Amino acid sequence: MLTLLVTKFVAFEGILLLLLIFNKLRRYTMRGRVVAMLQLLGGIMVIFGYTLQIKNLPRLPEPLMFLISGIGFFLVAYPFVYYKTVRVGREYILQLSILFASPVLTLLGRGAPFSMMIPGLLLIMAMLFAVRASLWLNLHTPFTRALVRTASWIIVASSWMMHLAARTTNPWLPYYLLLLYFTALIFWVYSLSKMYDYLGRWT
Amino acid sequence: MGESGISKLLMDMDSPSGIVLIETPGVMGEEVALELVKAYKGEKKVAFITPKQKRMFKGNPEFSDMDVKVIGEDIHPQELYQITFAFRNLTRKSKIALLSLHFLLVFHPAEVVYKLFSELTKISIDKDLLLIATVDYRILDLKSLAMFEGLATHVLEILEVINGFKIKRGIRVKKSPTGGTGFYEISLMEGKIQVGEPIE
Repeated sequence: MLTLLVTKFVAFEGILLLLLIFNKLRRYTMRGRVVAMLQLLGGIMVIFGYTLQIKNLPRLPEPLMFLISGIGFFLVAYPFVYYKTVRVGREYILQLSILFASPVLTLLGRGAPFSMMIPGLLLIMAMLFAVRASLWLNLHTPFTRALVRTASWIIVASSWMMHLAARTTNPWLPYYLLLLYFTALIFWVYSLSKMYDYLGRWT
Repeated sequence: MGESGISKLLMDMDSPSGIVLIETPGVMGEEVALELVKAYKGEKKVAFITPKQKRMFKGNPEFSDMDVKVIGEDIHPQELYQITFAFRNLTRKSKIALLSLHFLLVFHPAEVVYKLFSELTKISIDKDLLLIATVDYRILDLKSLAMFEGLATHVLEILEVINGFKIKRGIRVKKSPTGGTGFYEISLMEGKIQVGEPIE
């Protein structure tokens, strides 16, 4: 439980850094304030949605919590669409193809059950999008760019590891999977903090 | 400045025209660019600056004759044609233009910004203008940086070396019609750039 909380905390930190980066950029862009406010709202919704999943105090139905987080993720990603920085390259398409191929194991009856696979896949997709989106802003050094690309591949690999973790009798495997997520998130957060540092010196 | 390569570079540019690219980590290059601009007293200048620089310019008599266009207010990095348009509309009286490229690189791929820079250099040559552009080289790979350097007549490179708790900065002329130089120590004292001893 604690490891899961720490991983989520790192993911929130990444989202927070994205918000801070766009908050810096808003002064240089058209309608930047409105876009930054929408993104902030999205960030709050993601954090709210995922926090409810950990401790569902108001007893909200699970689909509603997913909806809140989903809309939140869309709003966090919205500035990339608004500023026309979205670039879908061959690597991203390959990663998405590998990701969408992973439910085959469930269909063959050798993977995680559907009830676990669908939310897991959605979460991995959202994470992959958030991690790769940082590449669309040219604020990376060659080193941090390599780190982000490594993180995105780790996330893709975790979509297949998820099935292994669901079927295994080894009690440590889910923790190894979490460690993989954690490593990917640390790479992402480090790269974002570097981006923020550069931007902070310019603005 | 003594007999450093920087002073030689300034002597090269007695009659302002050419393309100067300042490769810098952070904003040190912008200070150097302003120092270069100050050397041309009485010439009509135009600067494409950030809101942060606008605050710096405000009330500074040395930049009172400068025509200022603020990125995020007068022009926007997403709309590159606005910059080309502003350059085309510069009168023949304008002699010096100042521009930061890294804000454009945040929103556009290096190839797109390179095309814009190429267009701006052509306009600058046509109008007999001195274009001083700064770029944070850390966000460019070596190939893209070389492309930008290819368009410039003069390239100044600023380097930061962290030694314990001290940051040492160096500057060199990487490219100029008279050749390059080694690194010289550079510091910012009371708002003025001081070029010191050569760095071994």
